[in-house]
Amino acid sequence: MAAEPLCVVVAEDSVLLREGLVRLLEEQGLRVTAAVGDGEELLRVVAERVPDVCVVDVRMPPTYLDEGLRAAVVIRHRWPQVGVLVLSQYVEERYAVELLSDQPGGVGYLLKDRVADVLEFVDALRRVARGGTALDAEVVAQLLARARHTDPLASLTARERQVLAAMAQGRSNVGIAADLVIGEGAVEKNVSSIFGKLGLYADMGEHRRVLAVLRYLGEGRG
Amino acid sequence: MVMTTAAWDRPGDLQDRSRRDGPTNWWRRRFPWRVTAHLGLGLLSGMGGPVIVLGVFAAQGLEYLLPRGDTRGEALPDVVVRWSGRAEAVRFADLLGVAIDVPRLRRRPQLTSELQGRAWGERERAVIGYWLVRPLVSLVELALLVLLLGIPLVVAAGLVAGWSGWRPPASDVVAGLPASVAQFWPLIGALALLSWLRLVVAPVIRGLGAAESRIAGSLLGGREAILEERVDALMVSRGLVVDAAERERRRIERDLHDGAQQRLIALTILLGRAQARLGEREPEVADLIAQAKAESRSATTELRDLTRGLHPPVLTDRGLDAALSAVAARSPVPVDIVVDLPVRPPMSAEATIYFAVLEALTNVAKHSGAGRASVSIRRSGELVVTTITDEGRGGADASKGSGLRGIMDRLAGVDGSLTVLSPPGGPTVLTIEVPGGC
Repeated sequence: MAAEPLCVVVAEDSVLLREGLVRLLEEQGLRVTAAVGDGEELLRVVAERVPDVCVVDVRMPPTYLDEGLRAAVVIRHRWPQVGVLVLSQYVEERYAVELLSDQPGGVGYLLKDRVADVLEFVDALRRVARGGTALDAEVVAQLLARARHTDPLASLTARERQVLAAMAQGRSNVGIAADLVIGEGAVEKNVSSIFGKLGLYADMGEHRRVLAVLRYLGEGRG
Repeated sequence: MVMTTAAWDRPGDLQDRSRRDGPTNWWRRRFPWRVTAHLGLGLLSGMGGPVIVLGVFAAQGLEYLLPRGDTRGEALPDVVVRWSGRAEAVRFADLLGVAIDVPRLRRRPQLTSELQGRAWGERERAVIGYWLVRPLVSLVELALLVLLLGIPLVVAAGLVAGWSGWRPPASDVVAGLPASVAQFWPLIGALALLSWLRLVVAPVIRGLGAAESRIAGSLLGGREAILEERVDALMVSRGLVVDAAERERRRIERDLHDGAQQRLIALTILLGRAQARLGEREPEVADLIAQAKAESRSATTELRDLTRGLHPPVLTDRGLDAALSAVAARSPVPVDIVVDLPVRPPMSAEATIYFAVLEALTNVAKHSGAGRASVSIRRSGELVVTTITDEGRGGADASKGSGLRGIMDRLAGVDGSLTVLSPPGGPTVLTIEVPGGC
């Protein structure tokens, strides 16, 4: 990990924020290979020098609607090895589903102000670069609330639901244990119980965790 | 058509004045000269107008009269129709004092093509109709006037003959009159002529003026056409106002998003960087920075809630389904949402429905005690029908809750309606109908 610094492309139209982000990432030992101001430029830069991960703002010129999100979906489709961390001032359940629907890994979706929790943000960025997920707690809450009444969820206990929410944020079992102040063994038991209730079995590979979240949303293909 | 004091119908004040004015003025005022002039001009316009107007239309082809959607530019027939109507109105206004409000018949670019196609076609046809009727009216008038003026002419001819010594032939009555009476014969004739003009011709002329005004009023103007046009214009302008308000909300949202919100986030990030750089050193300073960061973050959150309340961007980007999904996700009461709209409604309708559902769900959470709610949005003809149902305790009353009041106010702006069905004990069903603009 320490050998090669992560290569990051930043796409953010506000100069103030773009500069802030670039500085922050560099201070944290990541290499920002390009910082651009709109979706088209982002796609060109990614095509040129495929980075490990992109940090993408949703609202960018020319339309100031969801340029960044569209670009992110294109990147995930065309360069599946490139992680995409989408930042926005609002998080929308629908955007999360759009981002996640193609493939479960290598994607993140956070509220912009989470960047201020520098260490956690950089952690999330690395996770996304490695093919993991990082969903904002608020997105997860929205997704879960939406899925609350769909089938398998009803059979989950409150604790299992908490664990699943933490899983959706991309936390490891150790992280979840720390978050919920329970033992790691208890987390593992909850996780396998969730997998069981959702019908996710070991031969489905390591994406089982993400599939668990997606299954909840009715978006899982597994 | 608004009839002010018309020239054929001003008895009182003129009679009063006539006493002061003496016989000449009396006569000038008692005979409807202006109406006569009006009719005389009418003979010209009644013959010339149709030739010009119908000629232009014949040249343009009859298809022009069909309603159509094209709204750009103003063709020659448009101008002819508009100005021929105006010119007639001037004749009525100046000579008769009859105000005929000719609908403007002007193409206003902001009118929807549908509205314009309909309204324009009808009124245009009325003007054409006027110019078709006009020559017939003129012919009838001409015939009447020839008849009415012809009789006294014949009498006058008789008078002239009498002056020169001729007597009505073999009239026992006249012959039997004493010579003293017979010598006043011309004077009697003149009086008879004046009486004829005054008592027969003048009322007929007034009647013709009134009849013409009526015809022109119903074809060229007409209260209904004017009101219709005003209603159309008001509908359009109200729509523009509602749209403008919505656009303004979006603009403010965008300004805040790009301005204050960005700056606050940048500030929060800056504080985060300071925190990270400080690391474990200077715990007291670190504590201050952490506090500052928490403050600026809560300011960000507040601002975010505010701007979302103005106009959620996801509503613009993705429409009602996505925007309401987020609402449902945040609702403390579980909500099932079904949006079945093949085409997105106009911006103002979407925003109205969005905020109405938001308000309704807030009410459900606050007052109904329901365990769940459902929202269904579908198109029914030209309407978008939204139904919000909950199994709560019912008893909702639009006249009491300010929430429902707010929904109704907002709906009024887009011609929408709200129906509340909420018997005590529930369930509560709110039905919101909004024109979908399609």
